[in-house]
Amino acid sequence: DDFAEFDDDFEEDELSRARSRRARTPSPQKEEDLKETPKKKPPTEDVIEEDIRPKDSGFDEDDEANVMNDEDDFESIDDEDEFDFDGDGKVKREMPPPKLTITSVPMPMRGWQAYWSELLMLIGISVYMMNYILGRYKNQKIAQSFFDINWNILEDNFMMLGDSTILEDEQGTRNYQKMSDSIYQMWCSGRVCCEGMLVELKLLKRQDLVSILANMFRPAKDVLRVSVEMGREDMDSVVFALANKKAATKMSKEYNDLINYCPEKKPAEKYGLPSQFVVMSELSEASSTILDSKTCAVITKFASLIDSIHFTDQFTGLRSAEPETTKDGVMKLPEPRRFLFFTLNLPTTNSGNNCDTVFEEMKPFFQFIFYTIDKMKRVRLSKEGKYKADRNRAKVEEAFMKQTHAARAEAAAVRREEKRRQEKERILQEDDPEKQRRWEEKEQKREKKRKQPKMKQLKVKAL
Amino acid sequence: MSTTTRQSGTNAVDPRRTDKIRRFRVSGLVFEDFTSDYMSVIGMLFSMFGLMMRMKWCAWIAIYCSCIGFASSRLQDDAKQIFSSFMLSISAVVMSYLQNPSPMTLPFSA
Repeated sequence: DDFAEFDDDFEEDELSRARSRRARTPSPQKEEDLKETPKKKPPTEDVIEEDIRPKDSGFDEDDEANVMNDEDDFESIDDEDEFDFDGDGKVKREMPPPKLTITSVPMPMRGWQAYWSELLMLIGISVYMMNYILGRYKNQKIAQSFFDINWNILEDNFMMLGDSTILEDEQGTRNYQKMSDSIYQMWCSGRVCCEGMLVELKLLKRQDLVSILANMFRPAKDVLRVSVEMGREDMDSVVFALANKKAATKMSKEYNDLINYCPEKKPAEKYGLPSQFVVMSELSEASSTILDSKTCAVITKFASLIDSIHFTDQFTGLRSAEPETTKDGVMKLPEPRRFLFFTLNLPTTNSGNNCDTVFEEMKPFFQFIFYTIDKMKRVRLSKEGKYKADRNRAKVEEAFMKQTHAARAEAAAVRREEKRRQEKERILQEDDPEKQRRWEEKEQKREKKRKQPKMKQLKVKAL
Repeated sequence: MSTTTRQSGTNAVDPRRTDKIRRFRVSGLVFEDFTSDYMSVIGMLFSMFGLMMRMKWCAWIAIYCSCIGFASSRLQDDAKQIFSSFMLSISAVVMSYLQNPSPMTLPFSA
């Protein structure tokens, strides 16, 4: 509305211009008109001023009177647009609605085709899930076929198959246990010459698309590991391992017993075995006894499958495992256990279709495992061998004791301190002064003795 | 000085003994597989990123991570861990689309 008053000026100028054009024509009569027209200009200006004068206290009644008596300007009186009737200084004018021209901006692609990357993601997830279901089924089929093929031989050798949490029924779950979608295991027990046998199947993760792709770059195989736990009387002091070169380096770094007892590695050709193998043994006598002709024949036959064979009576786990500690927080010597480990790489394909033939061919290997269990019972070291083995074990134990000596001494000191403090408290609570006096005397004698310099006693043996 | 191996006759005798039945004790050699734990941690990180920095591709990758974590989960793992990582990643995707329904922009595209 602020611009309303300018429109008035615009119309007044047009009126006066039109009149002046008419006045410029030569006829005499027109000249008088011309003379009159200048008179008109001042009043119209007054009118304009009146309209736009702001409504403030300065505007009084007489000004309004001058405007009224000017006759010539009447034609503009009834023109309502001219006059401001609501008295707030704004002239109401029918403004033509502003024509907003919306420039045609290319709208972003709307509709579902814009979400192509989301669609891709959803397709990826559904492909992953389908592969999960398929892969899990394949692994399940492989494990089932393995245990079906080897069930009879396991049943002939073990009283209980499948760990039963409650031993009363001694039957066990009679089935293998599924640890994850790719790891299956079964515990068998109740046989002479051994405590029990754990059969573990670690299959490729066929249910995980990512690991399938990873296997394409880093080929891996299904792994079968049979760990036979032996009793104290079932096995002599033997630490022996035969493995592929690659597995041997890994094992010699990780396994505590191999680190302590078998530092050096010997090539397997010496025993007539394929060159891919390496032998690590504490006593050469033990390895020649273990690698008898039948064992060598089986190893040569299954050379492509065997990853490692490891017999040990000092198995204390891996080096990376945290050591057990006693109550006072001192490292305790882990209790060694006796094991026979057989680790095989299975030649099953990615799709797992050839698993039946593979497990059929592998049946003789299980016979070999039971043959080895019975043989280890009969293997006895010679006197020298036994002496050497026991000396090695004593050396390792001594090294361990030295290592933890500081910690053990500290723990013993803390224990002694604790005991003395309790004794002191008990004496203070005693009301009999006689006992307290005697206890203090004993205490001072002990302090004096502790401060005396210690004399070394030297024992000389008679030659 | 060879080690004496007492040759016992080929024992067709049944080797099974009920008195030798033992409970299963873990031997210290276990097939450890930590993929499930790594994936659930990575999944949670990505869904946090997806939620806070409103990056949709982070939320989608979080869903993939929880799928992989689920696929390689062990039986003794509790299902709550897997369930919570799934819930977190799905909520990250839903939230990022509620806030800004426009399609996802890949990280390297403009």
